[in-house]
Amino acid sequence: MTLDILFYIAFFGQIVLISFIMPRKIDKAAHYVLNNFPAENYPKLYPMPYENYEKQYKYFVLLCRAVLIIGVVLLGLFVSGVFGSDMQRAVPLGYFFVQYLPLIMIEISSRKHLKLMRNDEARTTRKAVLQPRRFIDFVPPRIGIAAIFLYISFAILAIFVELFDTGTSNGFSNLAIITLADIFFLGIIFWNLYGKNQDPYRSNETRLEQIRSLTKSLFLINIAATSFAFLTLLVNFLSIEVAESISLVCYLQLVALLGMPSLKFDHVDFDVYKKDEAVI
Amino acid sequence: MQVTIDVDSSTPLFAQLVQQVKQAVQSDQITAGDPLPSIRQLANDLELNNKTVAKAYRLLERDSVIQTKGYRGTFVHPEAKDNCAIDLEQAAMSQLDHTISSLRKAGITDSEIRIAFGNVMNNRTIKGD
Repeated sequence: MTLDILFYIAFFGQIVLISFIMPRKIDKAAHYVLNNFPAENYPKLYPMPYENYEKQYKYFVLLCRAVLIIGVVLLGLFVSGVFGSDMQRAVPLGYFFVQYLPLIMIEISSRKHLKLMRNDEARTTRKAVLQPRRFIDFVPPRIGIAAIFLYISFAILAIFVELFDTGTSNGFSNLAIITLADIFFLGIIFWNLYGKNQDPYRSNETRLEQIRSLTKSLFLINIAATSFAFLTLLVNFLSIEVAESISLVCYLQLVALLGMPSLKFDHVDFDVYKKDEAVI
Repeated sequence: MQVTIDVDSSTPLFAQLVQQVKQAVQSDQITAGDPLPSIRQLANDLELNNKTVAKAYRLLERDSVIQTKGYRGTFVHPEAKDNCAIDLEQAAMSQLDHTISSLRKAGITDSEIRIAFGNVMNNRTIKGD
Protein backbone atom coordinates (compact mmCIF):
# COMPACT_ATOMS: atom_id res chain seq x y z
CA MET A 1 0.00 0.00 0.00
CA THR A 2 2.81 2.44 0.96
CA LEU A 3 4.52 1.64 -2.32
CA ASP A 4 1.28 2.35 -4.18
CA ILE A 5 0.93 5.76 -2.49
CA LEU A 6 4.55 6.56 -3.30
CA PHE A 7 3.88 5.59 -6.92
CA TYR A 8 0.81 7.89 -7.06
CA ILE A 9 2.90 10.78 -5.74
CA ALA A 10 5.69 10.08 -8.24
CA PHE A 11 3.26 9.76 -11.17
CA PHE A 12 1.48 12.95 -10.09
CA GLY A 13 4.91 14.63 -10.14
CA GLN A 14 5.47 13.40 -13.71
CA ILE A 15 2.08 14.78 -14.83
CA VAL A 16 2.62 18.16 -13.17
CA LEU A 17 6.25 18.60 -14.25
CA ILE A 18 5.94 17.69 -17.93
CA SER A 19 2.35 18.63 -18.70
CA PHE A 20 1.88 21.68 -16.48
CA ILE A 21 5.17 23.32 -15.42
CA MET A 22 6.99 22.81 -18.74
CA PRO A 23 4.17 24.19 -20.94
CA ARG A 24 3.83 27.15 -18.55
CA LYS A 25 7.53 27.89 -18.93
CA ILE A 26 7.22 27.70 -22.72
CA ASP A 27 4.14 29.92 -22.56
CA LYS A 28 6.05 32.49 -20.48
CA ALA A 29 8.98 32.42 -22.91
CA ALA A 30 6.70 32.79 -25.95
CA HIS A 31 4.96 35.78 -24.39
CA TYR A 32 8.29 37.34 -23.47
CA VAL A 33 9.44 37.18 -27.10
CA LEU A 34 6.10 38.33 -28.55
CA ASN A 35 5.81 41.27 -26.13
CA ASN A 36 9.41 42.45 -26.20
CA PHE A 37 10.27 41.78 -29.83
CA PRO A 38 7.11 42.59 -31.82
CA ALA A 39 6.76 41.99 -35.55
CA GLU A 40 6.76 45.75 -36.30
CA ASN A 41 10.32 46.19 -35.00
CA TYR A 42 11.68 42.70 -35.63
CA PRO A 43 10.10 41.62 -38.94
CA LYS A 44 12.79 39.04 -39.72
CA LEU A 45 11.77 37.09 -36.63
CA TYR A 46 8.31 36.46 -38.06
CA PRO A 47 8.43 35.09 -41.62
CA MET A 48 4.76 34.04 -41.35
CA PRO A 49 1.73 36.27 -40.72
CA TYR A 50 1.20 36.87 -37.00
CA GLU A 51 -2.20 35.05 -37.10
CA ASN A 52 -0.44 31.80 -38.01
CA TYR A 53 1.64 31.99 -34.84
CA GLU A 54 -1.50 32.62 -32.81
CA LYS A 55 -3.21 29.62 -34.41
CA GLN A 56 -0.23 27.34 -33.77
CA TYR A 57 0.02 28.58 -30.22
CA LYS A 58 -3.70 27.85 -29.65
CA TYR A 59 -3.21 24.25 -30.87
CA PHE A 60 -0.22 23.87 -28.56
CA VAL A 61 -2.22 25.05 -25.53
CA LEU A 62 -5.13 22.75 -26.44
CA LEU A 63 -2.84 19.76 -26.86
CA CYS A 64 -1.11 20.47 -23.53
CA ARG A 65 -4.48 20.64 -21.76
CA ALA A 66 -5.65 17.41 -23.39
CA VAL A 67 -2.46 15.63 -22.31
CA LEU A 68 -2.85 17.00 -18.78
CA ILE A 69 -6.44 15.71 -18.60
CA ILE A 70 -5.31 12.29 -19.89
CA GLY A 71 -2.71 12.23 -17.11
CA VAL A 72 -5.26 13.06 -14.42
CA VAL A 73 -7.62 10.38 -15.77
CA LEU A 74 -4.81 7.81 -15.74
CA LEU A 75 -3.93 8.72 -12.16
CA GLY A 76 -7.61 8.39 -11.26
CA LEU A 77 -7.68 4.92 -12.81
CA PHE A 78 -4.69 3.91 -10.69
CA VAL A 79 -6.14 5.35 -7.47
CA SER A 80 -9.55 3.76 -8.10
CA GLY A 81 -7.90 0.40 -8.67
CA VAL A 82 -8.94 -0.04 -12.32
CA PHE A 83 -5.23 -0.21 -13.19
CA GLY A 84 -3.34 -2.64 -11.00
CA SER A 85 0.30 -2.51 -9.93
CA ASP A 86 1.20 -4.60 -13.02
CA MET A 87 0.49 -1.49 -15.10
CA GLN A 88 2.70 0.80 -13.01
CA ARG A 89 5.61 0.48 -15.41
CA ALA A 90 3.96 0.48 -18.82
CA VAL A 91 1.47 3.32 -18.28
CA PRO A 92 3.89 6.03 -17.03
CA LEU A 93 6.33 5.13 -19.80
CA GLY A 94 3.66 5.25 -22.51
CA TYR A 95 2.20 8.44 -21.06
CA PHE A 96 5.70 9.99 -21.02
CA PHE A 97 5.84 9.71 -24.81
CA VAL A 98 2.34 11.21 -25.11
CA GLN A 99 3.47 14.09 -22.88
CA TYR A 100 6.16 14.95 -25.39
CA LEU A 101 3.69 15.32 -28.27
CA PRO A 102 3.19 19.10 -27.72
CA LEU A 103 6.97 19.57 -27.61
CA ILE A 104 7.35 17.57 -30.82
CA MET A 105 4.70 19.83 -32.34
CA ILE A 106 6.76 22.89 -31.32
CA GLU A 107 9.89 21.32 -32.78
CA ILE A 108 8.17 20.67 -36.14
CA SER A 109 6.76 24.24 -36.18
CA SER A 110 10.15 25.74 -35.40
CA ARG A 111 11.78 23.76 -38.24
CA LYS A 112 9.13 25.15 -40.59
CA HIS A 113 9.65 28.63 -39.18
CA LEU A 114 13.42 28.48 -39.74
CA LYS A 115 12.93 27.18 -43.28
CA LEU A 116 10.70 30.15 -44.07
CA MET A 117 13.31 32.46 -42.52
CA ARG A 118 15.96 31.00 -44.83
CA ASN A 119 13.69 31.36 -47.86
CA ASP A 120 12.91 34.97 -46.97
CA GLU A 121 16.54 35.95 -46.59
CA ALA A 122 17.42 38.44 -49.31
CA ARG A 123 21.01 39.20 -48.32
CA THR A 124 23.69 38.66 -50.94
CA THR A 125 26.50 38.60 -48.41
CA ARG A 126 27.26 35.67 -46.16
CA LYS A 127 29.45 35.70 -43.12
CA ALA A 128 31.47 33.08 -41.29
CA VAL A 129 34.02 33.09 -38.52
CA LEU A 130 37.52 31.83 -39.29
CA GLN A 131 37.63 29.72 -36.18
CA PRO A 132 37.09 25.98 -35.94
CA ARG A 133 34.24 24.71 -33.79
CA ARG A 134 35.64 21.71 -32.01
CA PHE A 135 33.46 19.22 -30.18
CA ILE A 136 35.82 19.18 -27.20
CA ASP A 137 35.42 22.95 -26.67
CA PHE A 138 31.69 22.56 -26.07
CA VAL A 139 31.73 19.73 -23.54
CA PRO A 140 32.19 20.81 -19.92
CA PRO A 141 35.25 18.76 -18.81
CA ARG A 142 33.74 17.33 -15.61
CA ILE A 143 30.53 16.30 -17.33
CA GLY A 144 32.47 14.78 -20.24
CA ILE A 145 34.73 12.76 -17.93
CA ALA A 146 31.74 11.62 -15.85
CA ALA A 147 29.89 10.47 -19.00
CA ILE A 148 32.90 8.49 -20.29
CA PHE A 149 33.59 6.98 -16.86
CA LEU A 150 29.95 5.95 -16.46
CA TYR A 151 29.78 4.43 -19.93
CA ILE A 152 32.94 2.37 -19.38
CA SER A 153 31.69 1.24 -15.95
CA PHE A 154 28.34 0.28 -17.46
CA ALA A 155 30.01 -1.62 -20.29
CA ILE A 156 32.17 -3.57 -17.80
CA LEU A 157 29.10 -4.33 -15.67
CA ALA A 158 27.10 -5.43 -18.74
CA ILE A 159 29.88 -7.81 -19.83
CA PHE A 160 30.26 -9.11 -16.26
CA VAL A 161 26.51 -9.68 -15.97
CA GLU A 162 26.41 -11.53 -19.29
CA LEU A 163 29.26 -13.77 -18.18
CA PHE A 164 28.02 -14.61 -14.69
CA ASP A 165 24.28 -14.01 -14.68
CA THR A 166 21.79 -16.82 -14.53
CA GLY A 167 19.89 -15.35 -17.43
CA THR A 168 17.53 -12.79 -15.91
CA SER A 169 19.48 -9.66 -16.92
CA ASN A 170 20.07 -8.45 -20.45
CA GLY A 171 23.55 -6.95 -20.22
CA PHE A 172 24.37 -6.75 -23.91
CA SER A 173 20.96 -5.53 -25.05
CA ASN A 174 21.08 -2.76 -22.41
CA LEU A 175 24.57 -1.85 -23.54
CA ALA A 176 23.40 -1.75 -27.16
CA ILE A 177 20.47 0.56 -26.28
CA ILE A 178 22.71 2.95 -24.34
CA THR A 179 25.31 2.91 -27.13
CA LEU A 180 22.66 3.69 -29.76
CA ALA A 181 21.30 6.53 -27.61
CA ASP A 182 24.86 7.91 -27.25
CA ILE A 183 25.40 7.75 -31.02
CA PHE A 184 22.07 9.52 -31.56
CA PHE A 185 23.01 12.30 -29.10
CA LEU A 186 26.45 12.68 -30.67
CA GLY A 187 24.78 12.90 -34.07
CA ILE A 188 22.58 15.78 -32.88
CA ILE A 189 25.60 17.59 -31.40
CA PHE A 190 27.70 17.13 -34.57
CA TRP A 191 24.80 18.22 -36.76
CA ASN A 192 24.56 21.43 -34.74
CA LEU A 193 28.33 21.92 -34.75
CA TYR A 194 29.09 21.33 -38.40
CA GLY A 195 25.72 21.32 -40.14
CA LYS A 196 24.08 24.16 -42.00
CA ASN A 197 23.16 27.21 -39.99
CA GLN A 198 19.41 26.86 -39.52
CA ASP A 199 18.78 30.49 -38.60
CA PRO A 200 20.35 32.75 -41.26
CA TYR A 201 20.24 35.84 -39.01
CA ARG A 202 21.59 34.31 -35.80
CA SER A 203 24.88 35.82 -34.61
CA ASN A 204 27.92 33.60 -34.12
CA GLU A 205 27.91 34.21 -30.34
CA THR A 206 24.26 33.17 -30.05
CA ARG A 207 24.94 30.06 -32.11
CA LEU A 208 27.92 29.04 -29.97
CA GLU A 209 25.97 29.60 -26.76
CA GLN A 210 23.05 27.51 -28.05
CA ILE A 211 25.36 24.66 -29.07
CA ARG A 212 27.05 24.81 -25.65
CA SER A 213 23.71 24.62 -23.85
CA LEU A 214 22.44 21.76 -26.05
CA THR A 215 25.66 19.76 -25.61
CA LYS A 216 25.54 20.13 -21.84
CA SER A 217 21.89 19.13 -21.73
CA LEU A 218 22.40 16.02 -23.91
CA PHE A 219 25.44 14.94 -21.88
CA LEU A 220 23.43 15.25 -18.65
CA ILE A 221 20.59 13.18 -20.15
CA ASN A 222 23.20 10.63 -21.22
CA ILE A 223 24.59 10.48 -17.67
CA ALA A 224 21.07 10.06 -16.24
CA ALA A 225 20.20 7.32 -18.75
CA THR A 226 23.46 5.41 -18.19
CA SER A 227 23.14 5.71 -14.40
CA PHE A 228 19.58 4.41 -14.52
CA ALA A 229 20.54 1.51 -16.79
CA PHE A 230 23.55 0.76 -14.55
CA LEU A 231 21.46 0.69 -11.37
CA THR A 232 18.65 -1.33 -12.96
CA LEU A 233 21.13 -3.91 -14.24
CA LEU A 234 22.89 -4.08 -10.87
CA VAL A 235 19.61 -4.41 -8.99
CA ASN A 236 18.43 -7.20 -11.31
CA PHE A 237 21.77 -8.99 -11.06
CA LEU A 238 21.83 -8.84 -7.26
CA SER A 239 18.10 -9.69 -7.16
CA ILE A 240 17.34 -6.78 -4.83
CA GLU A 241 13.65 -6.05 -4.37
CA VAL A 242 12.96 -2.43 -5.20
CA ALA A 243 9.95 -0.58 -6.50
CA GLU A 244 11.01 -0.37 -10.14
CA SER A 245 7.94 1.58 -11.20
CA ILE A 246 8.70 4.41 -8.74
CA SER A 247 12.34 4.62 -9.80
CA LEU A 248 11.24 4.63 -13.47
CA VAL A 249 8.80 7.51 -12.91
CA CYS A 250 11.46 9.48 -10.97
CA TYR A 251 13.96 8.79 -13.75
CA LEU A 252 11.53 10.02 -16.44
CA GLN A 253 11.10 13.26 -14.51
CA LEU A 254 14.86 13.66 -14.21
CA VAL A 255 15.25 13.21 -17.96
CA ALA A 256 12.50 15.77 -18.58
CA LEU A 257 14.19 18.24 -16.24
CA LEU A 258 17.62 17.81 -17.81
CA GLY A 259 16.24 17.93 -21.33
CA MET A 260 14.13 21.01 -20.72
CA PRO A 261 14.94 23.44 -23.52
CA SER A 262 16.86 26.53 -22.51
CA LEU A 263 14.27 29.30 -22.41
CA LYS A 264 16.64 32.07 -21.37
CA PHE A 265 17.22 34.79 -23.88
CA ASP A 266 20.11 36.67 -22.23
CA HIS A 267 22.61 35.40 -24.80
CA VAL A 268 20.33 35.87 -27.83
CA ASP A 269 21.09 38.88 -29.97
CA PHE A 270 17.66 39.99 -31.19
CA ASP A 271 19.01 43.02 -33.08
CA VAL A 272 19.82 40.76 -36.03
CA TYR A 273 16.06 40.33 -36.64
CA LYS A 274 15.47 44.09 -36.99
CA LYS A 275 14.55 45.61 -40.30
CA ASP A 276 17.59 46.45 -42.49
CA GLU A 277 18.21 50.17 -42.66
CA ALA A 278 17.67 51.58 -46.12
CA VAL A 279 20.86 52.42 -47.98
CA ILE A 280 20.65 55.88 -49.58
CA MET B 1 37.92 37.05 -37.43
CA GLN B 2 34.99 37.09 -39.82
CA VAL B 3 34.96 36.53 -43.59
CA THR B 4 32.23 37.99 -45.77
CA ILE B 5 31.34 36.57 -49.16
CA ASP B 6 29.28 38.49 -51.66
CA VAL B 7 27.49 36.07 -53.96
CA ASP B 8 26.60 38.89 -56.37
CA SER B 9 30.18 40.08 -56.77
CA SER B 10 31.97 39.58 -60.10
CA THR B 11 34.97 38.16 -58.22
CA PRO B 12 34.73 34.36 -58.01
CA LEU B 13 33.71 33.05 -54.58
CA PHE B 14 36.91 31.07 -54.05
CA ALA B 15 38.99 34.16 -54.95
CA GLN B 16 37.07 36.27 -52.40
CA LEU B 17 37.84 33.68 -49.77
CA VAL B 18 41.55 33.50 -50.70
CA GLN B 19 41.77 37.30 -50.67
CA GLN B 20 40.12 37.64 -47.27
CA VAL B 21 42.22 34.96 -45.62
CA LYS B 22 45.36 36.69 -46.95
CA GLN B 23 44.10 40.07 -45.73
CA ALA B 24 43.41 38.55 -42.30
CA VAL B 25 46.97 37.22 -42.17
CA GLN B 26 48.48 40.52 -43.30
CA SER B 27 46.50 42.52 -40.75
CA ASP B 28 47.47 40.04 -37.97
CA GLN B 29 43.87 39.06 -37.33
CA ILE B 30 45.04 35.49 -37.66
CA THR B 31 48.64 34.57 -36.95
CA ALA B 32 51.00 31.67 -37.66
CA GLY B 33 49.77 28.44 -36.09
CA ASP B 34 46.17 29.59 -35.63
CA PRO B 35 43.67 26.84 -36.45
CA LEU B 36 41.24 27.36 -39.32
CA PRO B 37 37.79 25.85 -39.72
CA SER B 38 37.39 22.64 -41.70
CA ILE B 39 36.29 22.85 -45.33
CA ARG B 40 32.88 21.43 -44.40
CA GLN B 41 32.32 23.85 -41.54
CA LEU B 42 33.24 26.90 -43.60
CA ALA B 43 31.22 25.71 -46.60
CA ASN B 44 28.14 25.15 -44.45
CA ASP B 45 28.53 28.49 -42.65
CA LEU B 46 28.90 30.39 -45.92
CA GLU B 47 26.33 28.19 -47.68
CA LEU B 48 28.86 27.39 -50.38
CA ASN B 49 29.73 24.16 -52.11
CA ASN B 50 32.47 22.16 -50.35
CA LYS B 51 34.44 22.20 -53.62
CA THR B 52 34.55 26.02 -53.66
CA VAL B 53 36.08 26.19 -50.19
CA ALA B 54 38.38 23.25 -50.99
CA LYS B 55 39.65 25.15 -54.06
CA ALA B 56 40.34 28.26 -51.97
CA TYR B 57 42.17 26.16 -49.36
CA ARG B 58 44.17 24.42 -52.10
CA LEU B 59 45.32 27.77 -53.51
CA LEU B 60 46.18 29.06 -50.04
CA GLU B 61 48.15 25.90 -49.38
CA ARG B 62 49.96 26.26 -52.71
CA ASP B 63 50.93 29.81 -51.70
CA SER B 64 52.07 28.49 -48.27
CA VAL B 65 49.59 30.68 -46.43
CA ILE B 66 47.96 27.72 -44.75
CA GLN B 67 49.03 24.14 -44.10
CA THR B 68 47.05 20.99 -43.51
CA LYS B 69 48.27 18.67 -40.78
CA GLY B 70 46.31 15.52 -41.52
CA TYR B 71 43.47 14.78 -39.14
CA ARG B 72 44.55 17.61 -36.81
CA GLY B 73 43.15 20.16 -39.22
CA THR B 74 44.26 23.24 -41.12
CA PHE B 75 46.50 25.91 -39.64
CA VAL B 76 48.00 29.23 -40.65
CA HIS B 77 51.48 28.58 -42.14
CA PRO B 78 54.46 29.72 -39.97
CA GLU B 79 55.64 31.97 -42.81
CA ALA B 80 52.17 32.97 -43.96
CA LYS B 81 52.72 36.70 -43.53
CA ASP B 82 55.78 36.79 -45.79
CA ASN B 83 54.14 34.45 -48.31
CA CYS B 84 51.06 36.66 -48.54
CA ALA B 85 53.24 39.45 -49.89
CA ILE B 86 54.25 37.34 -52.89
CA ASP B 87 51.90 38.22 -55.70
CA LEU B 88 51.91 35.29 -58.12
CA GLU B 89 49.54 37.08 -60.47
CA GLN B 90 51.95 39.99 -60.74
CA ALA B 91 54.87 37.61 -61.35
CA ALA B 92 52.94 35.87 -64.15
CA MET B 93 52.04 39.23 -65.71
CA SER B 94 55.63 40.47 -65.79
CA GLN B 95 56.89 37.16 -67.25
CA LEU B 96 54.24 37.29 -69.99
CA ASP B 97 55.01 40.96 -70.65
CA HIS B 98 58.68 40.09 -71.15
CA THR B 99 57.79 37.20 -73.52
CA ILE B 100 55.36 39.32 -75.58
CA SER B 101 58.01 42.06 -75.99
CA SER B 102 60.56 39.57 -77.36
CA LEU B 103 57.96 38.04 -79.72
CA ARG B 104 57.01 41.48 -81.04
CA LYS B 105 60.70 42.27 -81.58
CA ALA B 106 60.90 39.09 -83.67
CA GLY B 107 58.13 40.51 -85.90
CA ILE B 108 55.23 38.38 -84.74
CA THR B 109 51.89 40.18 -84.79
CA ASP B 110 49.57 40.49 -81.75
CA SER B 111 46.91 38.26 -83.30
CA GLU B 112 49.53 35.56 -84.00
CA ILE B 113 50.72 35.81 -80.41
CA ARG B 114 47.11 35.49 -79.16
CA ILE B 115 46.47 32.41 -81.33
CA ALA B 116 49.78 30.82 -80.32
CA PHE B 117 49.13 31.55 -76.63
CA GLY B 118 45.63 30.08 -76.89
CA ASN B 119 46.92 26.95 -78.64
CA VAL B 120 49.68 26.38 -76.08
CA MET B 121 47.25 26.84 -73.19
CA ASN B 122 44.69 24.52 -74.77
CA ASN B 123 47.29 21.83 -75.41
CA ARG B 124 48.53 22.07 -71.82
CA THR B 125 44.98 21.85 -70.50
CA ILE B 126 44.29 18.73 -72.59
CA LYS B 127 47.57 17.12 -71.51
CA GLY B 128 46.83 18.11 -67.92
CA ASP B 129 50.24 19.70 -67.25
